[in-house]
Amino acid sequence: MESIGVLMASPVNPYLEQELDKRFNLFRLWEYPSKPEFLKSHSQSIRAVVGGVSAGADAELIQALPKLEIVASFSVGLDKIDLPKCKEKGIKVTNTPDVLTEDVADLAIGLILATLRRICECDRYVRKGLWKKGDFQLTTKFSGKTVGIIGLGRIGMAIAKRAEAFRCPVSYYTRSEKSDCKYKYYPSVVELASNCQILVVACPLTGETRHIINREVIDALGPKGFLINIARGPHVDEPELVSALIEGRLGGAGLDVFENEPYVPEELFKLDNVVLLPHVGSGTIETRQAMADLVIGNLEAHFLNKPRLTPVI
Amino acid sequence: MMGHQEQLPQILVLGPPSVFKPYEHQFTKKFQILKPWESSLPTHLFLSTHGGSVEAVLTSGIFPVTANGVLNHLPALRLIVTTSAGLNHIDLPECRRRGISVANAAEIFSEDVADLGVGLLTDVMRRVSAGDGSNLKIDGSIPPKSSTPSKSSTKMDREKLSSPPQVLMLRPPPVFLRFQPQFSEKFQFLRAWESDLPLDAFLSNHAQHVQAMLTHGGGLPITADQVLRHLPSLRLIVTTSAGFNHIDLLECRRRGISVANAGTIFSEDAADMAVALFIDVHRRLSAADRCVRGANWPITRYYPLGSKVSGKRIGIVGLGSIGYEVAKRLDAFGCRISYNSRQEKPSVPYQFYSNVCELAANSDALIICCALTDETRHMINRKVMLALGKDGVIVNIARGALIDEKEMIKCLMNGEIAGAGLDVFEYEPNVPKELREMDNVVLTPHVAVFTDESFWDLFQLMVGNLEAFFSKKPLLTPVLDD
Repeated sequence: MESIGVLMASPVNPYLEQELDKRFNLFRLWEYPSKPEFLKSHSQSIRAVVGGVSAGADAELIQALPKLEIVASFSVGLDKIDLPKCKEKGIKVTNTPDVLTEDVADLAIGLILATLRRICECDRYVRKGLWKKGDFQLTTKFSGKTVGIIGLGRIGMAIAKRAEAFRCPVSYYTRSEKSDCKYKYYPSVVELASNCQILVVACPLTGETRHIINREVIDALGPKGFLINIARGPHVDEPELVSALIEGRLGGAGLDVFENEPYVPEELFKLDNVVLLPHVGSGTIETRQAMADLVIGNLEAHFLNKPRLTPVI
Repeated sequence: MMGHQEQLPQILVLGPPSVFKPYEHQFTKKFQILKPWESSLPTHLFLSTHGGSVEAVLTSGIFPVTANGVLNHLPALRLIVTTSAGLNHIDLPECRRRGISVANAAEIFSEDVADLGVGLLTDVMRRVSAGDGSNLKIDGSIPPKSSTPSKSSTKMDREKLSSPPQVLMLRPPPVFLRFQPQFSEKFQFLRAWESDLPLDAFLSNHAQHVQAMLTHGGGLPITADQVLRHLPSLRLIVTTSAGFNHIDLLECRRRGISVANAGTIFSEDAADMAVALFIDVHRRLSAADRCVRGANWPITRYYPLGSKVSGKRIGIVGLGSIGYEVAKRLDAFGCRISYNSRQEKPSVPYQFYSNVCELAANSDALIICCALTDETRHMINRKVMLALGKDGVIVNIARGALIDEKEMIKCLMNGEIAGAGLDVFEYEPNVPKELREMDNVVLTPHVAVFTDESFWDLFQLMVGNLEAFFSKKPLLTPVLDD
């Protein structure tokens, strides 16, 4: 398989690169001076693309790679892949579900706690030596607060399970109500936001869910409400969120994702009721390795004509 | 006018009596005043050092004028003037032996005292309980003898106490500061920190009839020597903390003083804090937030990854109310819970280890949730940390002194443990510089229970305990012998 050309768009993981290098002819796009240059020289050799959260396979790229057979995403989210185009051209797609579910759910709870209890600000307070001058302020209790989850897939369910251990009543919104579900259903995001204190975004990013958190939802959540986003930046109307936070119309936000990563609105830097993370939802040694193994496993299976491990299409 | 001052006769003032302060200026015009309470020396040392030529003493009605305490240190003493009518605080035979004259307030108070006596009798006969004269001003006036209702009274109307019961505070607990107006509606607070007097003098002068005290975990230690021996009427100490290591319980028991604490109202918030620190250390949340705010979104592929939280082996040190809440939460993360406690708890589904070292050897992280006692001080020592291992994490939301802090810093710097989440420190609010510069620790300023919700619950609980005491009902959250 050493002759099979595999294209990696961004340097997501050293272990993954290393393993791909061993098995395939790996092309690292970021090492080339320009994309057009690269395509001119190598487009005929590329049979697989390894995508990630910042770059996947859009229509343009798919079009430029006539020998492309499979896109293996180093993520569970598929928003960077033009799925209809892949389907049209018979290109296979795989992702990395399940292995990162727990990590992302853990992070969601960690973000809730960090935001409500102002852990990062506390840490800054101590490091600056301010504790000697006086006690820190009171913050907001997490246990027992109502948690509303948008999207009750694997990640949403894992978040719900953890929130229950904190005595939190859990409610949710999905496109249609789930049968056999013990959590309370709301038929719209605004209604969910009006009836919970902590709103967590945990659904896939599609054309329909873009800006699902808009001004109306933010207002419904209110000055004592908190928004937690561990899904995708474009789920939230970011300028609206920023002004709501600055004006105190929203109680606080814990954000792992942003509309234009790695760009984070600078107005957020001076707020003490937000926690800002650089997209680390699945960022653990254990999970990134498991994800990398899945990508490799899927690619090997495909090129050996075996069933893929985690196919999407 | 220094020269003029030095020619004035010298008097030593003990107490000081309450009449002294308001008229200090007038006193100073006539006398050169020696004020032992303004010195850092203990009184008897001050007297030995400065009282060699003192001929006259002005004292309050409460300051004990004894041979050992006073007279032996004032060889030139010829006169004691007490601002009280009563003389029981002065060793009169000893004074007679030494040729020291004594003068008191004679009858100048008699009318006022009589008025008071009549007022008290009427008061007591017309209402039911408690109230030992708490409606009196705290100005050092002769404490009234506790009146017994006249035998001729038969009816006692059940009326609500019209004046609030008195509660002593040495320093203001944070919950008091937050709910001052609400507290003050219900109780009359004796605020030791607002007085210029050193504590023992304040207590001797003003708190002799105080029955209840409100204190907190971060306040002054409540020991026999510093506090209790000055409070003969004390029957209740309420602390706003769950911990009570700052109170000499044995001494309280000896003196018949009940103690109430915060019970389990903080357990959820404290457990939430433990989990917050645990996740933060493993997933590097505070470190990442620092990165982003520094406009340093890590674009390098060598940005350190975190460590997975779910499924980790957790060792809980102390499975009380807080430890149990921590266990419940981390259980939902698929963590495997073990614990060490003074006794095994057969009703819980978690693995018990009889010593902390063994617990550490079988855990990926230790979460400290136990009380600080003589036995548990520095319980987390080098041996335990080495057993925990280089991937191990310590979370402490209990008391700083449970961990050998110096040793922990060494272990962190040498990579003998991986990280720590700390809400408490040995010498709060001082946090060692080495810790404040580390990337693999998360530091919070003893805020495990600092939420709006807990403070409100705490306020209600403190009021509840005090009200129960004053109406002779059982305390809500007594600290019991175990």
